[in-house]
Amino acid sequence: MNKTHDELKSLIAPYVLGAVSPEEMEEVRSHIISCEECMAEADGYSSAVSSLALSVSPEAIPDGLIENVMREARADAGRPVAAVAPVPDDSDQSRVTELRTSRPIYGLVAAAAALLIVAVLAGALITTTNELDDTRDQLANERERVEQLAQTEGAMRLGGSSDDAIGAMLPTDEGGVFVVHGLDDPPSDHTYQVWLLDDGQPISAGTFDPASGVGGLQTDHSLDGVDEVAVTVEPEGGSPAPTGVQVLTT
Amino acid sequence: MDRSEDRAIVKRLLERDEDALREVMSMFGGLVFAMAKRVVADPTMAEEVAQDAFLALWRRPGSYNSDRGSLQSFLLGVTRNKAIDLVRHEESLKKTKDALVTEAEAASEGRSSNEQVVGMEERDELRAALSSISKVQREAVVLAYFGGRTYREVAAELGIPEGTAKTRLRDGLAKLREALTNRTERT
Repeated sequence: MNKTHDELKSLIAPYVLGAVSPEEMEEVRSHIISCEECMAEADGYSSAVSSLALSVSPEAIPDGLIENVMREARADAGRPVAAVAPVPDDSDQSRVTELRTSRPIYGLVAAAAALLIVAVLAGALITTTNELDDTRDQLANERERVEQLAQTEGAMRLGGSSDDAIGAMLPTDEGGVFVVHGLDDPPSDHTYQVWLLDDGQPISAGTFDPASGVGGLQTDHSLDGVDEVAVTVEPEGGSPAPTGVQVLTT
Repeated sequence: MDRSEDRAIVKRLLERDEDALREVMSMFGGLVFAMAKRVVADPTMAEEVAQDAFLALWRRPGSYNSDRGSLQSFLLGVTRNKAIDLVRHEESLKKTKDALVTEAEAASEGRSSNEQVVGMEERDELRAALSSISKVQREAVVLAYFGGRTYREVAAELGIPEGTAKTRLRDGLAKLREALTNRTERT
């Protein structure tokens, strides 16, 4: 059933709180990406929602919690060693991207849309992707949106050996936003890692795991000077440099 | 703890430094457990949720992005999501409306015990903001955020039309945002 703009707008606050059904979650998400007004409204609520968590007062740490976690963490020791990359040093923070004031507004809107997709997928909100009715039409729409984002000014489009997966890396004021559609889940104990090739040097932009084929991340590394973006399969936690199969590249 | 400290400790987690994990738990363990307990009615299950949240950070430290907020907010978000997944699948773990609302009232009035170090000022700000929204709005927001209810469930539980539930959620968030913005601007 197609909802009107006003009906969808009335669902923005419940959506940001994760208080909608899986079907409505999908409807609102699709709508927000194409509606600047609703996107701004959702964006406005997100800080209020995340601040709600801070109303919780700490309690005493239960006996045994720390040791239980340490034991489980040590049991992970056999897994591939994770590495350094996605967290920037402070020195990276000073390399703030110049605000691209000349970039047309649609570019910024696209980046904002991508940010929202990432926010939703990264678990900032409750996602119910597993319960979504992933019809062919819906998947086609998702794909089309990533394709549109990839075509905006300043964006880089990523493709792979299979036509199924496409990605887009969009510049933002403080780095970039990456979104992808059509990726299968990574092999067990593995993850996808995004690389920025800056003067030929691969710099990790972080790792992500897709949900229903859709995924993304934000990086605070400036895209200025980045001439290629690639996605590889790496051991869980990521690698300091690319080691695995390259699944997408610009 | 500022963002550079957050980044530094996450970098150590990426390097598989177990001491870093221990430090994160010492710093945020009480808060993460409290968040899980705010959502889940059973303290034992809340402890499991807290453990899962820390293990998730250990296994995927790269999923934290300092651009999007503090490590504390990130961990609380992960914890809340895990707890809500649990209550949505195990109806028996759902807290009653009365329990949720009573805790929210206590939080907004700052009557909680065992206050610790992390972000007290920020928490005080938030409490003040929370107390500035009306009781009916707070009730709806708390049921949705900490109770894992959909707006339809909020409506049914409060005996109000669905449209009213949506309006209370919207107005509650808008007022909260406004209160937080005003406070930030004043400081």
